[in-house]
Amino acid sequence: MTNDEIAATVNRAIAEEFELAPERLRPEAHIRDDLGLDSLDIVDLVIVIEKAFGFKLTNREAMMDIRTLGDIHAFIAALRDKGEAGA
Amino acid sequence: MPSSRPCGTRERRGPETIPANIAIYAVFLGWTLLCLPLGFALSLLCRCAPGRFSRLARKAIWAYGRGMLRLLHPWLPVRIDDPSTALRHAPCILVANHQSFLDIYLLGAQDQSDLCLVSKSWPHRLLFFFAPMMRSAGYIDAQSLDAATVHARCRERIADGATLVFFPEGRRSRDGNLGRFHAGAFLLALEEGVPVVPLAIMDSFRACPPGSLRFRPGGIHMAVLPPMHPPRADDPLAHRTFMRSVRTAFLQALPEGADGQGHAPHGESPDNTARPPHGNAVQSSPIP
Repeated sequence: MTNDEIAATVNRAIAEEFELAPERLRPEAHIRDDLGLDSLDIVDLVIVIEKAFGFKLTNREAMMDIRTLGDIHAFIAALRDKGEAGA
Repeated sequence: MPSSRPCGTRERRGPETIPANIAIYAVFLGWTLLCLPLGFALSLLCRCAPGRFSRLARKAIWAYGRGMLRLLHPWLPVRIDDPSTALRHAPCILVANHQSFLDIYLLGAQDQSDLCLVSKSWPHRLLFFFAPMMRSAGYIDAQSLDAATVHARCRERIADGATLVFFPEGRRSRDGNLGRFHAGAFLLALEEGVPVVPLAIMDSFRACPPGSLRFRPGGIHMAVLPPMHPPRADDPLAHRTFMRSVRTAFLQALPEGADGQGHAPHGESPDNTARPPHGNAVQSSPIP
């Protein structure tokens, strides 16, 4: 899976689950300030990502430190590179 | 502006509303000043015996709101469908769309008086004259407290028989449309197994939108929708599915085009409601 495909999968999953317009989903968008997700949304976001990619995150806490949408793309890409994401 | 459906009386704008605005402000000030000493006395009682008078404080705040609505009736007449739903289905969680600061007062139009507001921090900090009463009533500051404490306090209030009140949009609508919902209230309903009662508020945005100091006299219509029961599901995102069902129920109750998201959320229908609320035969009534 390429970086673009990862970004597209993440964005599609977030747009559907959190009812966000796709044009708001820029890599630099801050998850809380720009996308308006709260702490509970971020817990749910982990599950949404797991469902979208079909794997279990072993280090869920790391997702809590993520700030921007681009960070999520990079996080998944890093998991892919380590062979943990099945991506 | 999609949600500005006139109701009850014709909307009036312009200089002819100045006398009405003077009267409305006089009513707000007069009624609040009249009630404040009682509120402070009740706050003192609650401080002396923490917890013992919380329910009384909550009912007093509701009575203040209902009294305000009655006094404002000549300029802002309120009619409401099914006002006793939350009372009949207590304990429950009342969720309302948020269009105006008036919405807090409008909670007084429905019959459940034991209401506990779960809100952001600013009302607890900035409304200094109401803050002692809010503390006495056990209102929950969901922003300052950590999630576990908020959850524990919500549980306590439900066990105490109170109806929790959430504005799931998290803030007043800036354009009168229904915004995105936050999931906290729905997760709580799911975990506690209590129904959610949606309260659809129409026309309060028209009457006094955020940022406006001017009231536009005219009728306000509210509808308490049938209770919606949380699903029993193993899906870890079941609360979000439930949240979308409730939001869909709001969209059906509000005037057409009120979806601030610009699309139907996942095409889900509120299949755990008893009937579609908008345009049904429910008799609406003025507040008693």
